[in-house]
Amino acid sequence: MVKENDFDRVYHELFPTVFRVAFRIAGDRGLAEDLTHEAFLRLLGRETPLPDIDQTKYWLLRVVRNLSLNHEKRRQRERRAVRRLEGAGPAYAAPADAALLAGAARDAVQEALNALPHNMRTALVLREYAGMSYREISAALGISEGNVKVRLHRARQRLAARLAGGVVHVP
Amino acid sequence: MCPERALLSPYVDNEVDAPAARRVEAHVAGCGPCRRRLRAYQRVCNALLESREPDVLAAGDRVWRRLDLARQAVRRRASFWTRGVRVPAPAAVAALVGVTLLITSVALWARINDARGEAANLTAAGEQRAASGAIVIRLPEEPQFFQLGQPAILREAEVAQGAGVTPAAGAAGPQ
Repeated sequence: MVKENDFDRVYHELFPTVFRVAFRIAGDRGLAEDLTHEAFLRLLGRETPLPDIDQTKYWLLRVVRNLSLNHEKRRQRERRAVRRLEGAGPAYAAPADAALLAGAARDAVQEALNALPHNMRTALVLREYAGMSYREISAALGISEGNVKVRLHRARQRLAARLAGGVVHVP
Repeated sequence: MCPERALLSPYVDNEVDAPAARRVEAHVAGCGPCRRRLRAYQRVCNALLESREPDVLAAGDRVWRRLDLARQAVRRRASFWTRGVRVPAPAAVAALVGVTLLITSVALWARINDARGEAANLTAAGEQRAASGAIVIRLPEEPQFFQLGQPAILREAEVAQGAGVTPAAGAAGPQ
């Protein structure tokens, strides 16, 4: 288990990065706090300590990525279930607050990020909000640097198309 | 498609080496679509960095309080019987060897005591038989023998005195 003094130091050093990444991947402050809390809680319960602060950061970011992916899959399943129920009759219409949330004004950039596939969004967020190099992203996500390059390229193409109103062709 | 197009995104990230960067710059200077694409990528970067984000310090405090509560709960749950103990590997090995030696010596001591007790019992029984004038029939100790005659018949008293067993020649013996 991680010693408490070490944990405090790691928390204060890594929280801003982990939280920013969680927020940009999840697109919601409350959910980002939950994801970050869970990641640090798991770090606290780890039996074997991680070798250095960089490895700890990569590990935390991987946990956030996996948790957010699981959350996203669950949410998609729930949405599908709601759509099926909506199809069954008017008694199962979506709750009023969901409509309010959908209609609320939100940050256009965050909306564009949310529209990206999870793997592209994660790579782009690690690059832009964690300031990680291609090599570091490759280590954190367990993919090749070539794959990182491709994901970032496609993510930028899609974002540019969405933000600039389709100036850039998206294959 | 322009051959340098795939390099535009790594170029924005400063992830291309100097010759490749020069190639991209030379190409972009003469290629309108790639120049627009590069500007679009740079706008994306700026938009991402300028986009609003929640108060990180406040979030840090909130998450820290939740973690602290979780840690306190874990400390309360860890009773004496479930609390883990960390022992350095050399100390663990030394303790294991010590326990093994202790068990072995206790087992040896018990066996020696048993043997002593058995010998004492045999001696007492022998003395008792000698006093009663019992007769001992001793067979050869070899596992295989032929009974070609009468076995040696000795008195217990003679055996106890170490008279030895010398069965009559040919009475019994290995072939």
